Amino acid sequence: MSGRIPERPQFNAEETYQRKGSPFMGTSPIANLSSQAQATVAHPASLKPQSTSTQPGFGTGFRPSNPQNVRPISPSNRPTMSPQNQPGIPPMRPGPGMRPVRPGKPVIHMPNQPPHSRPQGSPRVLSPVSQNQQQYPQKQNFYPPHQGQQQQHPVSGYSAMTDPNPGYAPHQQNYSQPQQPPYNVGSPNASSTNVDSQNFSNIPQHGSKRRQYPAQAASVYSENIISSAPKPGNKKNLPKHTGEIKNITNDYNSAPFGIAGADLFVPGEYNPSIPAIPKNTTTSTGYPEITRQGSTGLQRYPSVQNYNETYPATQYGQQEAPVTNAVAPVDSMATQFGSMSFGSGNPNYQVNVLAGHPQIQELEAPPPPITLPAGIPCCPSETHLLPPIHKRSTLNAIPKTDKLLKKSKLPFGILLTPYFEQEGIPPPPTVNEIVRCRRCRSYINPYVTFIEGGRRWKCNLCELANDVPMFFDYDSIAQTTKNRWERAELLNSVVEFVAPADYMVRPPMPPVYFFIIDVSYPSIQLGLPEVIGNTILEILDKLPNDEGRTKVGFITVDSSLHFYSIRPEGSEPQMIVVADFDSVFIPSPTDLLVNLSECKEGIKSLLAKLGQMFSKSHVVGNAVGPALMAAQKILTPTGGKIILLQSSTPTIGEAALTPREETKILGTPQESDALKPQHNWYKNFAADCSRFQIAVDTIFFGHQPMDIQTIVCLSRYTGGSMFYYPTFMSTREPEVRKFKEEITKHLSARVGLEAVIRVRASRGLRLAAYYGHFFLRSLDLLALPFVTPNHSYAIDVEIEESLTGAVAYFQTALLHTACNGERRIRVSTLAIPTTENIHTIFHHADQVAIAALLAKKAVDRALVSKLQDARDAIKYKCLEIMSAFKTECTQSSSGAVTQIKVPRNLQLLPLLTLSILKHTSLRPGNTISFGNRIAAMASITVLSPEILITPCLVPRLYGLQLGADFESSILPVFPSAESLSYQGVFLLYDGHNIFLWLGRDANPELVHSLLGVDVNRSVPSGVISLPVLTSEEDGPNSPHILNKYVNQLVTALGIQTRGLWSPITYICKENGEPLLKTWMHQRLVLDRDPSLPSYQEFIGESRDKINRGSF
Amino acid sequence: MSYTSLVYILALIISAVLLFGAVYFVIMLTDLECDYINPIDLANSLNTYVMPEFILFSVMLLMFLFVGQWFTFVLNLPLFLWNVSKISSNRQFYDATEVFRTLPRHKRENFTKVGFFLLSFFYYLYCMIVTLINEPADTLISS
Repeated sequence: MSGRIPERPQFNAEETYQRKGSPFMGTSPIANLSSQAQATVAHPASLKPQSTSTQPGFGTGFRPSNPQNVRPISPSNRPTMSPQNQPGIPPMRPGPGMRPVRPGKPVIHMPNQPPHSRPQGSPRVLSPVSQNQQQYPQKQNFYPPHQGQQQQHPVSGYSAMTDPNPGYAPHQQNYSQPQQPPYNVGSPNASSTNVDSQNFSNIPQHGSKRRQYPAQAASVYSENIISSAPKPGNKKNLPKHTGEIKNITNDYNSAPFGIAGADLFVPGEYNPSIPAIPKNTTTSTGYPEITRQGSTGLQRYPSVQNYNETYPATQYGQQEAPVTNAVAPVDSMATQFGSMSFGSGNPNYQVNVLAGHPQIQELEAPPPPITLPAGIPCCPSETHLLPPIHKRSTLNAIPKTDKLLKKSKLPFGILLTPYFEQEGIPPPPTVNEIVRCRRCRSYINPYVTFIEGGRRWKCNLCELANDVPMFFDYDSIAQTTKNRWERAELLNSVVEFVAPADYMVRPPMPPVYFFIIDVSYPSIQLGLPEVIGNTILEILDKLPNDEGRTKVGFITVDSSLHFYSIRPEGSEPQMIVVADFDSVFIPSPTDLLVNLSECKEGIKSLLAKLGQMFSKSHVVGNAVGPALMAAQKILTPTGGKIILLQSSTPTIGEAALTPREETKILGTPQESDALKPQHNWYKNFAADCSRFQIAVDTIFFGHQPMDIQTIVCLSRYTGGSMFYYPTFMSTREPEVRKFKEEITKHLSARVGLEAVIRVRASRGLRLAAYYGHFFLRSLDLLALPFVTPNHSYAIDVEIEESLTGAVAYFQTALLHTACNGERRIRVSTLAIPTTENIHTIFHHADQVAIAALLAKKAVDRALVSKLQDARDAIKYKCLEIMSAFKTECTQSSSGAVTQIKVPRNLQLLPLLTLSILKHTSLRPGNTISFGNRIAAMASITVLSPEILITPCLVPRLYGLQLGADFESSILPVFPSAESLSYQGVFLLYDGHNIFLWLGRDANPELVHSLLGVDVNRSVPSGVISLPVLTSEEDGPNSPHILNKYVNQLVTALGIQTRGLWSPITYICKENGEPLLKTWMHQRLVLDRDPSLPSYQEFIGESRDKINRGSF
Repeated sequence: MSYTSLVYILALIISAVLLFGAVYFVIMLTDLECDYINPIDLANSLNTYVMPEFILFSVMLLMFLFVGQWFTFVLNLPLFLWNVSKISSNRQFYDATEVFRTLPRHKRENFTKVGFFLLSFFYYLYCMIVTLINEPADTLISS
């Protein structure tokens, strides 16, 4: 019995990369358990020549130098192979029918519970895998046979006990799944199956040690599952050097499986066999070359999917499992790994941002992978990893200490979109019973550990042992046993609990919409009442009205308030005018807020007349304050949403504002003060509203000064949204359409009502500051009268005390009333590994999340302090991060350098910083009105990072040409004037607008195909609605094929932004209107601006500052 | 009894009131931190006392000025100026929407005030005794 701990393998950083990125390491964990010689024999084709020749440790990074130490072949202690373990033979699994049930006694189902941990006479144990199999029948092949394996290969017990951080155990590579996963079939690896399974069976010699650690039994046991189960979702992160580390990308979009071993990218090597990128050549560094295509000379950057195939970021750094409490020999090894110069010296993992164009397509790449150590979660399921859309962290490897975080200079925070819902994505599963930790009140989730034979569960946030409730295993109504591993809350990271009456302070409120419509003279001039009337008329049927409880009400405001009394009998609505504002009173107690279903006729007749009623009105003055107070009084019993449609300054009553001079102070330091609210009435009113569960949406029209910066506080502190239509006129069809579509989308969304959000984090982490539209009711409780699905919130996280666990958790609980009147709690849990290695932190930083967090913080700072402070802070942070990386992680830690090296996953940070500075919210200069700036700030504050980054911060630019298909007709190019050519036609999309840029010699054929117009000159500059041209001849030869493609593109872009905006299309001709041209060119973030440098200049400046060390 | 001693007796009472006020503020802010009250209630209840507190303190300062207690006056001057600067920039009130962001600062302010009023309470007590002892016998008799 040679349970010897093998000697530390000696290899350098270079080897680590080789190992991690090697093709067969990536796909075939089996290779890991073969010895050097076996590996070579087994995978002759997939081995890179230099790998085998120059790197003796290749593929066996954690294997001792002498393989004999690992697997002493001693037939006596080799367990008998059961047929279940034979590769290729599907294992027998006990189905439900095979389960013996002892009447009257609950049966606890634990996955592969180790025999030693099962107390005498304890209930029978069944594997969860059989259940998983039923749940995911099409993927069952990916699950190796756990049943029986545990008894025969108890080595996992050993590993987890000797090493609580099993990623470093040198022998752990020795086990893998004995069953060949299907994606290896056909690859040379398949031939090694027999060898491997034999190897696998050779390792039971450490099993005797297990009894020392009975308490860990359950976790140990689940590690076993993980160790042998590659997840189908792991396209790029199949278990590698160690069988136990489970690597799963959050890659939501990528195809889940089917990547053959040879397709994977080998960092540092040119792999000619990559089939996924036929168009783009890959350079020796793994970068796709920019090629010039077509006669128009469009510079196209490679498409995202293709690039992702070659992107190694998801493949390296994965052995950086946390290093804590490891026992002596393993610890020394772990230390070695920890101190290993990760990334340093290897150019493939760092990018010189000075060289060439930024890789913009990286913006759409998934965040760096979250690599959880083995044993987490407790039950293997594909859905346990939180999709980044729900919650993403700026760091996907969290430093254990605050000191380390400070050293890396990276901002640490999480961004959540707690109520994310989208068509096509199924809502989270519903659970009826709530199980929570007694101490920290967190909800049970996939990351808890079952201990004491499954009778108790250990909370993953506070580590308190809680009792497992009876109903987990026993159905008292049907008097049958249940399998707890079927429970949705143990399989999914996002679930919705149905809240019982304890979670209600009153009966669930109905959806209530109360419109306050400005009908003063400026509004009449814009033709607003009619458009609003028509729009609401159309929305009425789309408002969430599941149970017929939805209520609506209206007030129109000029210098007096007009209430509308609507009765169910269908009689004409009555208008009640109140002009006395000393004490706002409600003229009629019941029929101002009416049930939508009952009074639809009356409401419709009111809305239809709205335009007519006020068409002759010349009343100047607006009494929004009293209207808001009246609305609040009406809504106090129910709560609800006030939709304020405003187009003039409030001048009458309590909340009157004096218009502030705008033009003189734009661009001056006083601008920052003018962005602050004029007085606190609106703020306090908003706080009051939040108490009565009232949200306020503010919608502004027209460009005359309204002191938006003060009124918008209503939305900011009640969880409402803000819309701004500065160029609105009822005669401009595209503007009207934009307003209609956006408002319809917004109001018809299925919202959550009377909600609160609480985020809990592992011990040692403190949630320091919150950003978004909400009211902070207590230190960590966000109150949201209405939760809008698209709203996102950012949280600054601080490390208060050193983290002890291998994984840190963030759990968001959103208690809300769904539109159907059910009280629900949506719980999402994010698990992120912790680390002590600064390289790992850098290489797992998520640039999109970082930029989004920085932008949100910058906006907050601009509103509290000064615009210039916010700009400086964000610039400083970017430099600080790059400088910290240079000092900590590159060889040129001091002294001047000619290049700026950043980790590959942070390479766009300078670009994103620059685009935040160039965004309307922070851009310096005197051209941005307060309204536009405030609206841009509001959108940064609420948008989720995915949409915020692109198209909001970095717009998309496409070159259009006549190609054979969609792909070749619409080429994504860099958002720079360099890309624009005078012969071409380009499309720029920034969310709110689409610019069609026509070069002065634009190909007439192209223009005809796009717009159906023959001569360039006949195309007017300015707003158009993009025509949908049809022709008799359909297909690629259609004369208007480009028009079809562009319409397809616009639709696709709309889906990508979740239909938040309905863009206005502008024709911008190269020799056309200069104002429009300037406006468009402002969006080309790579270019120089009057007050801001171009990307290249910015990088150059950054380099100089970093070299000087002072910034 | 001279005016000076009378002023010190009044100052003693006022500083005791201010001391209790500051303690009340600290208790409320701690309650907020522990989630016993919500920020709106806190802002409503505290904001009612902000201006009376300031007025009371200013009255005390004026009294010292009238009786020519320069040293005591100068001792109180920093707090007075700080209060004035807060009011002139309209920051004196508690803002329910921002209170969590500024909570540590508010707490620090109020702890400082508690300390200051406590010390000044004993100082006024001492001054009162000293002035009473040093007063000529005839004034004592006449009072």
